[in-house]
Amino acid sequence: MKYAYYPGCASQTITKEYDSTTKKVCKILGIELLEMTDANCCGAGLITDYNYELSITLNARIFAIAEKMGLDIMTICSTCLMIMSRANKELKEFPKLLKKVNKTLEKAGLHYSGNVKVTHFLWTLSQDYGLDKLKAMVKKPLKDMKIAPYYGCHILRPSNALGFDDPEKPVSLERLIETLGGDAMPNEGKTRCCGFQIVLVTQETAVDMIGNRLKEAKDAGGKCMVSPCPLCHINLDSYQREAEKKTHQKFEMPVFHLSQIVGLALGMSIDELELGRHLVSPENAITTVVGD
Amino acid sequence: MQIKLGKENLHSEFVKLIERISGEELANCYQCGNCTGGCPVSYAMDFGPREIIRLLQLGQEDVVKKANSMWLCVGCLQCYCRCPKGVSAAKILEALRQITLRKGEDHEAIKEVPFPFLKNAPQQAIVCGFRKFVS
Repeated sequence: MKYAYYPGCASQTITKEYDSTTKKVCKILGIELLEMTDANCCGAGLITDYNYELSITLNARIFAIAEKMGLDIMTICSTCLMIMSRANKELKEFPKLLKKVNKTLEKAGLHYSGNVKVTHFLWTLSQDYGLDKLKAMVKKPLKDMKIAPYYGCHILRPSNALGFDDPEKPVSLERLIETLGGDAMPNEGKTRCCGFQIVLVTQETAVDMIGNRLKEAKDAGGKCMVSPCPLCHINLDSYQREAEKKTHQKFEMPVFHLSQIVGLALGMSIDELELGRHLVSPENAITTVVGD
Repeated sequence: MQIKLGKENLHSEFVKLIERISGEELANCYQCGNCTGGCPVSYAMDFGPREIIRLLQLGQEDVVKKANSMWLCVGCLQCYCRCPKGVSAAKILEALRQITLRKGEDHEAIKEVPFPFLKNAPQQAIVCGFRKFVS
């Protein structure tokens, strides 16, 4: 199993541990990740409204590089996934657009014929790799670990471009947690937004939203959370203390990256999982259940 | 709230522009309110997404422009996902932001953002924040 690997900007800077642990986990599982050394930014929706064609062309350039490598793309960022899936859908649906975009790509010696698939690490594990195969690889089941799944937005919506999981009642994270031997604690906030987009404009509302997501996870009995999106992780982890101050309650809710809970069940150590980079220490959530 | 309705409101250039930028037809909305029900920030908005669409259907440009709703939309697409008519309120709010920002009317003054906040905020938040709130 081989993919062109596209970590996205957040996982190369602020959440480096998500990128490095994904590589380690995939090495153990036998999923080969080839770096796309010359890939560009997906645009993250920041230029879509400014110059639609440019945003599609930028994405087509990424697909063209993957096509040259003869591989499908795997990303670990939900926003990259959504932006790329949407662009890919339009390129496949509108041959005229594809033709126009290819004219621009030609200047760089690239061509996209529309045959690349974009997938997320969670989808890869759930579908392409398979949960049965993953179960056979588990060395240290996450016994009694009460994990609240948190999907966020862009791995689910807009479902007409993504379509892997149900946008309202997704189950892939729960199934993955159970495969790893943990207790999945479904909570009503699992598909609601963490407020990442409005941290700057109104930190107060954003912190409110973060507090709500943490509270929903805690009320459902979760002792920690897992998120497939690096941006949700930034928000839930780094603004947790602010949310505690504002709502006058203690959450102590460590948030794991998807790769970290998989790595934990595969028997990787706390150092290997780089858990020290989190602001809310996840170590208590682990040692109390798994032992060492 | 009392509003004045006239032909000039219902078929205003402003409403046409919103429809053109967003690609949404405002008349498609039949006001079921699923969007506002699902919206994670509607509680903090002056008008929820359903009300914004209704006000636009009635051509209430000034009311909509003054409301904080467009700045609070997080683009989570819950509204679009739940809409039985396939209308994306998120796109309509995005169109409103575009119209305002393209006129050079910033919502955030970069100079007024405290430096310690900028230093500590995640860089991705800064990039998407300034894209969204500054022209």
